[in-house]
Amino acid sequence: MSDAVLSVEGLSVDFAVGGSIIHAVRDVSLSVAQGEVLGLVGESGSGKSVTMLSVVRLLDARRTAITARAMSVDGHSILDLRPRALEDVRGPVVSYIFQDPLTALNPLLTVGRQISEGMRRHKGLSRTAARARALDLLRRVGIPAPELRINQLPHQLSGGMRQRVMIAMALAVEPKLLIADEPTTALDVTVQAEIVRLVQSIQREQGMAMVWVTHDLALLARLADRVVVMYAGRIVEDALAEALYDAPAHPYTAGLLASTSRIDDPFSEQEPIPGAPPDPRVVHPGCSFAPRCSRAQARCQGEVPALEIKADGRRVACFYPLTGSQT
Amino acid sequence: MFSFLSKRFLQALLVLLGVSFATFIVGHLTGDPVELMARENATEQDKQDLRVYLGLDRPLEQQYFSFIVKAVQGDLGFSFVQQAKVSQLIAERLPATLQLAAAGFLLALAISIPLGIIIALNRGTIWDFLVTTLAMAGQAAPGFWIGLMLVVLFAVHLKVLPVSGYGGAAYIVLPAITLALQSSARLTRLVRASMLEVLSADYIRTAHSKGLRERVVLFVHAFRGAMIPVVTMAGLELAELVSGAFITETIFAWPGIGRLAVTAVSQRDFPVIQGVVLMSAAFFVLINFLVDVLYVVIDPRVKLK
Ligand SMILES: Nc1ncnc2c1ncn2[C@@H]1O[C@H](COP(=O)(O)OP(=O)(O)OP(=O)(O)O)[C@@H](O)[C@H]1O
Ligand code: SF4
Ligand SMILES: [Mg+2]
Repeated sequence: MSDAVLSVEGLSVDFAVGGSIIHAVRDVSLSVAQGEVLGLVGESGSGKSVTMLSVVRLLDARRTAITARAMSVDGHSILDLRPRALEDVRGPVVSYIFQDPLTALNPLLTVGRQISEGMRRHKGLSRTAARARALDLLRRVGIPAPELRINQLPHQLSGGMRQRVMIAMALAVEPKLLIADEPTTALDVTVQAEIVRLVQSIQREQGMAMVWVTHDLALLARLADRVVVMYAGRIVEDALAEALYDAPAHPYTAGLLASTSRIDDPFSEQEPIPGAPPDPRVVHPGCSFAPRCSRAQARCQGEVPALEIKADGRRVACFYPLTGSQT
Repeated sequence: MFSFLSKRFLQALLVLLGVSFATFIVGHLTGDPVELMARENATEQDKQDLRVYLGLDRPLEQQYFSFIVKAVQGDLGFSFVQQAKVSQLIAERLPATLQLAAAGFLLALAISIPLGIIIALNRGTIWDFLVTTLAMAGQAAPGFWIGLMLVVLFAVHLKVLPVSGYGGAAYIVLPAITLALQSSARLTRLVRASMLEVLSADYIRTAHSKGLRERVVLFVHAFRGAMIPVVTMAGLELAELVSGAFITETIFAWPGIGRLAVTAVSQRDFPVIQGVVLMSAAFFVLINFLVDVLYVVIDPRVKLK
């Protein structure tokens, strides 16, 4: 995988909270190729954000233990980087679009300032050059009257416009990998579709790699080349989007599909998966989905299923998958 | 912005009017100054003449009105006891008080802002624990006790600084430290808490995700927001230093407004009391107004409200 922009092997992330340890991410391996759009799905708390924040170590190092056999972004071995070198990777190599643009933007600094500062830092642009480019970017992300908006503060903008500013900010330094962590969840439904279309068109133009984090499998059907499904801190399935929608292999993926409205059949029956995800503080001896799984058998209780590569290239962590069980 | 500040300015005037009225009334309820001033063998007629001379025979509202009209022109009346203009008495003492307050305030800021930031960045370490504990102790200890301990240590035992009095730079050291310690104990804890809150904000993570230098994240993105509550508190501290310095001034025989007020109260010299209270209130109001102006500078959202 020499063309991988992001390659993670055996990533685990633990938080020390109070007296206990939260195992937020357990032994996660994944990669994103250049120009690829990867969808990352899973219920709330499954470790999607933590995995993606670990990519450039944005988690509070005091309370967080990140371990990995290997983790590299565009050839930089992230866990070995000194703080200065890490700062150089943040931005030009990996940029983020966060969920809630209201809290993710600094309330005291103008939109223009926040878009410009990354360019000034990484591209060495002068104040005026950065401002001119910020204006271009605002125009590009579809903000009307950019000359006016550039001097405004985040709270003077609507939610949708704020997220457009976030996008402009992320694009400003032309990242190789764009990580969008539920970029539309905090927005009005009417605005969500516009933002999705905007990000998609920019990704296509720019050809950069992208990870799109969401709860919404139906959304990924339109966006993603490949989908990775997480459950309780682990990857349970990783497959090409088409294959995954046609025939989910992991019972949890199947459950997720059944609980989301499908794009090709929006009026199909939606049934939520019964039960709740396990406590992230507990280490299970078996498959962590077993308590909610209708296919579970004795083996599932005592042994953790490994994430195995199947014949069609998909990866599944299940002893009794729905398809490809011949391996 | 203009409307925000002009509204604050009007509020300030109203506060001053209220304070002046309250002090005027209280001053007149505490007893008849003529009894204190008159010679022992004065007759009723002498006292009445004195009252007329001082204008104390007029109806209260007239007295108040003329008091205000004169006060606006800088004339705060005449001390019955010290035979001097109140404005002159205050003018004599004001520089000493302002010197001490400024020294104490700057010292408090110089201690608390860096210290608060440093322990916020090192939260959970032994240094954080030590400084926070010390700050709590400092807040709990009465100012006069700290002052006396400082005198015992530096002036009596080590003999490196004068015990009390007013003069060269050496005289201001101990009273300024006494004033600064309590302020900085409060401010350090506030700076720490405020910095911690801002540092955990989402937008700080965004700033990090852009690869900005650590010091840029700290001073451009975090510091400014963290200073918003600190400015309010520092304003109150400064007002407190100016108007509440009388204990420290008394301990160190510092010839400031505080001591003038203490003497005036014991002599029931109410033109002086009124003058001092009014001046303190004016300070308070002025500082609050400056805090509001600073707000607009720090937090541009304010002016848009
Ligand atoms: N800073 C933190 N300190 C302690 N625990 C954390 C922290 N961040 C996340 N966690 C825990 O780690 C687990 C994974 O969280 P994460 O935010 O990655 O979930 P997620 O899949 O992104 O969910 P959501 O869809 O709700 O965003 C959760 O149990 C969460 O409580
Ligand atoms: S391993 Fe067993 S419990 Fe886990 S998903 Fe597969 S069948 Fe269900
Ligand atoms: Mg998340």
